[in-house]
Amino acid sequence: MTLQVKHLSKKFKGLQAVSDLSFDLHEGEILGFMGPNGAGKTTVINLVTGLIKSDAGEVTWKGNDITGLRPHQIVHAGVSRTFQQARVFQNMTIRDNLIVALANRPGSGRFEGESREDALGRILDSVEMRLPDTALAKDLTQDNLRRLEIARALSSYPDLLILDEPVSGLTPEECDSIIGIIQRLNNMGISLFIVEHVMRMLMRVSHRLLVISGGIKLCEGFPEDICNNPAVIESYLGDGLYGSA
Amino acid sequence: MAFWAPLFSMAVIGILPLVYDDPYLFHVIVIANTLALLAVSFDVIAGFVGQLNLGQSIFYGAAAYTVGFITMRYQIPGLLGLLFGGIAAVIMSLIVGIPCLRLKGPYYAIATLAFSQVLFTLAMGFPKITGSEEGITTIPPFIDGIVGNYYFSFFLLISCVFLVKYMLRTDFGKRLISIREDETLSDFSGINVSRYKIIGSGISAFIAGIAGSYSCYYLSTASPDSLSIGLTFSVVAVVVFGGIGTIYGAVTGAFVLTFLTEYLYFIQEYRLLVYSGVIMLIVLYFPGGIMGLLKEKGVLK
Repeated sequence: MTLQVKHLSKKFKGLQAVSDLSFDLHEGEILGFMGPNGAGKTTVINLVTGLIKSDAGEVTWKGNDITGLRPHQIVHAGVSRTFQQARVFQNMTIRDNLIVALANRPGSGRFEGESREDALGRILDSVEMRLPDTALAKDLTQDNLRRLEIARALSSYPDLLILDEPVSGLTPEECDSIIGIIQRLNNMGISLFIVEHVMRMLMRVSHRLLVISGGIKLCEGFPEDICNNPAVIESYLGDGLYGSA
Repeated sequence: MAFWAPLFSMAVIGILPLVYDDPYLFHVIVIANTLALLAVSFDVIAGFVGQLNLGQSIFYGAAAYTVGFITMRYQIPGLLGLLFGGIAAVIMSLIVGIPCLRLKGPYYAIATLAFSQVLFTLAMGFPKITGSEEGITTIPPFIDGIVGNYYFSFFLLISCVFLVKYMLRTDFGKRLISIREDETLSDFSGINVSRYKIIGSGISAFIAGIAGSYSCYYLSTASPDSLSIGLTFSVVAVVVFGGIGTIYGAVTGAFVLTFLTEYLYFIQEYRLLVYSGVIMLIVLYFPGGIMGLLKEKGVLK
């Protein structure tokens, strides 16, 4: 396994956001992470990627303890992420958005020796970015912003990519396109940890699913088992099991 | 900016002393060049790294005092003096930056402002080293004559603007700018934000230090004014007036406001009223400063 989360807990001013959460993510796997709104999914991502510090628990990546490391150190270790609200460098071009991250780990891992121009071309192709790389990020549509955000995350040569609601705000067609990108990245050998509260999307791409509610793990397993799990159905009653996308 | 504009400006700068003899004009230009250097240094840290340093005079003053102190005791070449001043400013930026750059937004601004006040008080409290209110005086200049200083101050300013513009186009520069854009996202792009902020602050301080050391040689004085909060606020006004985050705006602002101050002496104390009024008009109606206005009118891309 590559990512191991053990007994992770986090409390915000009396509210237990995450409680004794443990799970593993295996090499080459797409692990879907689901739960209703406010379940603590984004908090878990923030804890794993170093944005906030946990009260208890441990996160190991490829056997190394990364608990308490700062985000850039975790990125250097090979774990990259996107955000719930697409987050890019708004006043920079597509190219510069990538260069900012690319310059930090040039041609490492399976792309050893790759030139910068080759890397830029490969990354933009992998997210199906059809716009010229001189376009400003602030002028992009929501769909292209999502692509750019994934491209920026790929520019640090991650072995694990964590996507926080990657299809949020997209049309069903755009959603299908993002699913295609996710599957392509996985075929390239990148492990993915995808947070989504829309179950339909996760059912299509995930090898396994992890479900939390109220910061507590409800269950984990194969998608077909999870969708018939009574505890999951109950926790989703408010949202509708298959969501809207 | 059209490619011919810098060439034309350089030609005018080169020819002016050959065809026009006005020592006062050249003196005002030297003062404007020094202020422009300091404004460029502020634009690097505030306009590009996004850190509002309200203690920029610390670096300028520390360099001026270092050069003054060393020059009065040892015979050192002027260029070495400038280098020592720059290094002193960088050391000061580490002293200020390591604790302060962890802070964000207004907290960083207030902390640097407080540092500036502490250093000003220290300068007044050690008269044997700093000369107290009078400062260190009769520092021998390293360039004689106003025309020599005119050319040298332009050389410093143009080299500095060129190097900063070049730096901002490199990957390193883009990473600095990314911190201004979104500090958290920079961190998640693999950038050690604290380290980059300290390096950015060091570069800014070095330029301010060169300005402070040169000014110390030119005016033969290192005075407490060079450490004052008033100087920092003048620099902020210059950069905001010219257009923050543009570099050329800092230079333009420094020239317009220096000439405005110097050539409005005939209206005595009312000149400050005019000075403040012009700044207020620009800030209120053209938040992008002179450069923003020129872009809006299509003069600049």
